[in-house]
Amino acid sequence: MGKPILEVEHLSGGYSRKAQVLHDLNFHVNQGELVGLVGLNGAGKSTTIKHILGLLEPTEGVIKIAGQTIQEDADRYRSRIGYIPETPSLYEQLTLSEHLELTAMAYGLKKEVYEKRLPGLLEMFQMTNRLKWFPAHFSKGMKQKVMILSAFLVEPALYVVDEPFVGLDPLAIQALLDLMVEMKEKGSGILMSTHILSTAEQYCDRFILLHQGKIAMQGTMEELRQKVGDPKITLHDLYVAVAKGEEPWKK
Amino acid sequence: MEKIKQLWMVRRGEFWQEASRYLKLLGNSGFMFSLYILILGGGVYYQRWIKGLSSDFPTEWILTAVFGILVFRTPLRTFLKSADLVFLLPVEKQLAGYFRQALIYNGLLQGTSIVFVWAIAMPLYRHTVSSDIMGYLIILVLLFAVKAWNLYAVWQEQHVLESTLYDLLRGFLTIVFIGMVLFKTPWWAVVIVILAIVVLTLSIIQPLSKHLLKWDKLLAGEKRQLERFYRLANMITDVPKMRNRMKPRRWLTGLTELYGYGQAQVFKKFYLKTFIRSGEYLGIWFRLLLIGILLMILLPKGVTSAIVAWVFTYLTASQLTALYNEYFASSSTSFTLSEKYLKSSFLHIYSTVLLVQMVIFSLFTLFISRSLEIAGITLLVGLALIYAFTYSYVKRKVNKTGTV
Repeated sequence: MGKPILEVEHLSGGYSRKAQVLHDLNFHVNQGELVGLVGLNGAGKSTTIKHILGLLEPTEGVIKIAGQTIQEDADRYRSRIGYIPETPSLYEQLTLSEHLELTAMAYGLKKEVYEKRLPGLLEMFQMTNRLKWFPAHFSKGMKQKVMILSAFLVEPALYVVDEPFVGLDPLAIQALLDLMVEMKEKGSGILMSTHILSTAEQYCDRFILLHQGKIAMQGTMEELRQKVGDPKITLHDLYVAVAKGEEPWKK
Repeated sequence: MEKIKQLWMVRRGEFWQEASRYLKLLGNSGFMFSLYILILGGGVYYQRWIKGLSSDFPTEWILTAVFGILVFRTPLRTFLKSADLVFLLPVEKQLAGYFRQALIYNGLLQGTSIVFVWAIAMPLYRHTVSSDIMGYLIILVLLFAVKAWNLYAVWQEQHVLESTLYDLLRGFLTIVFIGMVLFKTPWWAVVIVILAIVVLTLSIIQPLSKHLLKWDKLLAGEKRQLERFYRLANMITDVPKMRNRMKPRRWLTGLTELYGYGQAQVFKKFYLKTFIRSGEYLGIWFRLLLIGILLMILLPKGVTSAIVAWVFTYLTASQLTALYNEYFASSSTSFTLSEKYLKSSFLHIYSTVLLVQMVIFSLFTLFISRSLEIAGITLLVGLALIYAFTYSYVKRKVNKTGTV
């Protein structure tokens, strides 16, 4: 296991000081590791992600990517993140190929690298014939694919992936999972929030169970099972227990 | 249900409340003033022109064409919203009253425009066709009648997706009927056309309602009408709902390639593409250019051309500042590049498109005034103004508020 790429220490925050959503979160994502961020709607997953992206400022605590905070160098901090949002947002006036070019340019990718990576990715997601299309003609799944393509084009050090499977066809889901495994093996860290727990259990190395803005449990599947003293419990059952506020680790 | 009965009033009220905001702006803008001038001047000229016409002027043909189109073209405003497809679909039966009110509303609106145009045509008609006022009024009533039939037919057509054939038949009969009335053909010929209309209505048009009402078609029609309204309003003010309209204009994409590849080019490409394709930016730029050139041709030659060039580039400049707000933080670009790039790129593209306009204005100044001096001054002062405006006023605005 590599060094930590993302470190979150004593993070508290939210949209305002009065309405704090997150309370003292501590976790990290190592290089070459896929970490699942799991929690109910409103548990604070998206807020956590916004803090990591630097779209919200913590009221307390520190977030570091590759040992650097956003205050030290915002551009470098952000160029290390590839973000796949829950709701795809595209520019109506740009085609697929222009979105991808924009991303590549913004991340300072060399043109050769961009042109080398692009065809394979397009093919994986069946988007090769759609390069000249405008988003108005894309389905929800295709829009999501544009986000995925943009992120994997850059091959950043850290992927932040928010609920990526919704609206994707089965082939695309498999392609995304394969890509995440590939990037992990290349040394990237991935933080993924999702509700598809069976997939998460199968693919994630560790889990962070978020409940009401606090980390209820975290660790590998083995560690989680040990904590609750049930060697066979699935992530699904564990999650349901946590979500009901049963605090299963105290049993 | 009481709610559904009131729905029509609520929806119509909502629209007119929004419309009145734009109409107020329209009233306060220079547009109204120009319109008065146009009406007054046009009226005088029109009267004089009619006096010179002889009775063999083809008034009937012209009026047949004008009213044929006016009566045949029957757009339907229903004030439906796309969410109605979910919420109102189950109560379609109870919406009969709603749709009846919509038809009356459309009839009144379109009838009013017929009255207007028929009133404008009055001097022409009475001078070249017949001065009989009774005949003039009877024709108006007949126009209403055939409009009402068109409205009914269009409503029936909303039950089928493919209605081109019905439209053709309807258009043909409408135009023939209006033509016969205007040309005062023998009464039995008119009766034959009326019979044809009745037969078409009973055999084809009336039975259309055995099909299901095609909501998508209704919604598309409503959307088209609403967009027409917004386009009109957009000529005098910035209509937020028009912002997302996009035209690919692929033939202009090559221009954006001038900026090549690289981090510094990201926002330049973005803003140039947005300028070319999004909203009305290119349209505003082009229209103001055209009006400016037209004024240059019409107004006295010389320094006036220079002033026109400056004024119209300034007008363009004040409209185009909104381009800055087109950027929003999307997934990737926003996280990697600082705002510094964004602002400088915007100012670069902004001043460049103004500069191009100024160069074209200067070339026309040269053509029209045939004076290299005046053209040169137009260009140099124009460039100085653009530079000053962009890098003092607009830059300050962008820096201060983050939005324009």
